[in-house]
Amino acid sequence: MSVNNNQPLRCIALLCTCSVLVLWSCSENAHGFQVSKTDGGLAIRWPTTSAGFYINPAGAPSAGLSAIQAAMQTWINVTTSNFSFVYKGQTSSTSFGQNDGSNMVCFGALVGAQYDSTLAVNTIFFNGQTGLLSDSDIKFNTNFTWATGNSPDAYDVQTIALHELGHALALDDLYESGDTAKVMYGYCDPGEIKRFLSQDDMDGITYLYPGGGTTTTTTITGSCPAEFVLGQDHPDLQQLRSLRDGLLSRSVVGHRIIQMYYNNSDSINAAIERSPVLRDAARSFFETAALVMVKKQ
Amino acid sequence: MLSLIGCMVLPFTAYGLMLGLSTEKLTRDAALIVTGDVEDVSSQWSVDNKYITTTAVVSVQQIMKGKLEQKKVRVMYMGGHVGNIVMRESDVAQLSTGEKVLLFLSPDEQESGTYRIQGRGQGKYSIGDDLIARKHGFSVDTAHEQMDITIPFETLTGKIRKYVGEQ
Repeated sequence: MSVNNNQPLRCIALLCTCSVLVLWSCSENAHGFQVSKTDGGLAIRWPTTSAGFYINPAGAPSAGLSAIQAAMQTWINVTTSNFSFVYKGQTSSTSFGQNDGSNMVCFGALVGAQYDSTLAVNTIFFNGQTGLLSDSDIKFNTNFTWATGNSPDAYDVQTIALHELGHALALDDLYESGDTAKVMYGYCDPGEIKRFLSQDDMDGITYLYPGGGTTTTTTITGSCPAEFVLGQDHPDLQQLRSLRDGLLSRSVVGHRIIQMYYNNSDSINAAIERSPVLRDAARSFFETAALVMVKKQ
Repeated sequence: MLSLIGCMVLPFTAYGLMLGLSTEKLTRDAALIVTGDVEDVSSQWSVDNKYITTTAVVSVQQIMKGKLEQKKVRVMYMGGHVGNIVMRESDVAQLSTGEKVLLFLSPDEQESGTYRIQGRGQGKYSIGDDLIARKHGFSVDTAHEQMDITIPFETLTGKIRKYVGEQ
């Protein structure tokens, strides 16, 4: 009996939680990562799930080449994303910052007063209409001291390469105090070593390039409360499916929301059936969620 | 929520990594410090068609350091938007038409009469209607110097005048 009495409250709590999480999920920067966008608001990304990079190790410290490759591998190892950095070999080219379709990482002195304080530079070219990347280059400024070991006075190549490659994926810097452990944190000190991705860094690459792992498949087992409330032919259902498949399913947090929704669907439906107030609240929630998706499109 | 607001107000940019520069160092290193309004912004491909630069014309209201024969100054920076192609270089301060700014500038080494922003994104303050000077869109190593990221405009100009006077 007590279970039945608590069911509407649990249902309301779940709907409220879902509301907050859906709104949170619709803002990708609130995930704990932030993506680069076009002036029109489109996420910038590579047109395919891989990007090849040449490396010019001239001017790099000992083991600099392998440090950069290790940083590439760290991003590749994210099991929830199918994106791959491809090492295309060494190059002697110094054509940094040019729209030649050849991505590269190189070391060299950055010339000009505007570069006096600059440790590393990343350039990207992309289509302003589609957001699709066509070129990305990274240059380490050899006016500063670089190392691959644990030197307290030098900047760690692998740490900075991991961060810059995050930008090459189209992830942006983060500045909040809670972001300090993340690779995409915007501040770095000499001697600082950060060679592993945080969950938020991994969520970022997963958002932009989902798939590839075993954790991205969502098994839908329960009946759908949205269909139960709105009816099976309601036009908002298509928007809600787009919200599920096109947005929520592209992030780890989104997957958790979907799982929570379907795992509790029978309880939600039962509570809604007994309470007209709850039915109205649920209808309102689903219509709002569909509206969010329409605005997103 | 702060992240969301930040995302809405910050310009879209790419990021590298720089040393943090104090107002004192920016003042000391800049050849020209001005306040003014951005009148025009235009981007163009380089002569060899390999990269994009942007030139902005700033109508100068106040010269805080250095000399300027005209009331306008040309400021060049890497990146921009030509046709469908966009180039972004990390930590570059982008200027927008109509924007009120305070700029720390140094002469361009290749093009006479044109200036570059000192410290890239660090050398540009955007002045809001609330008379607060803000700079953003770059990543820095803050171990070296104390930066003024957000500061009342009057306080900032007071500091600059003090540092200029000490030179």
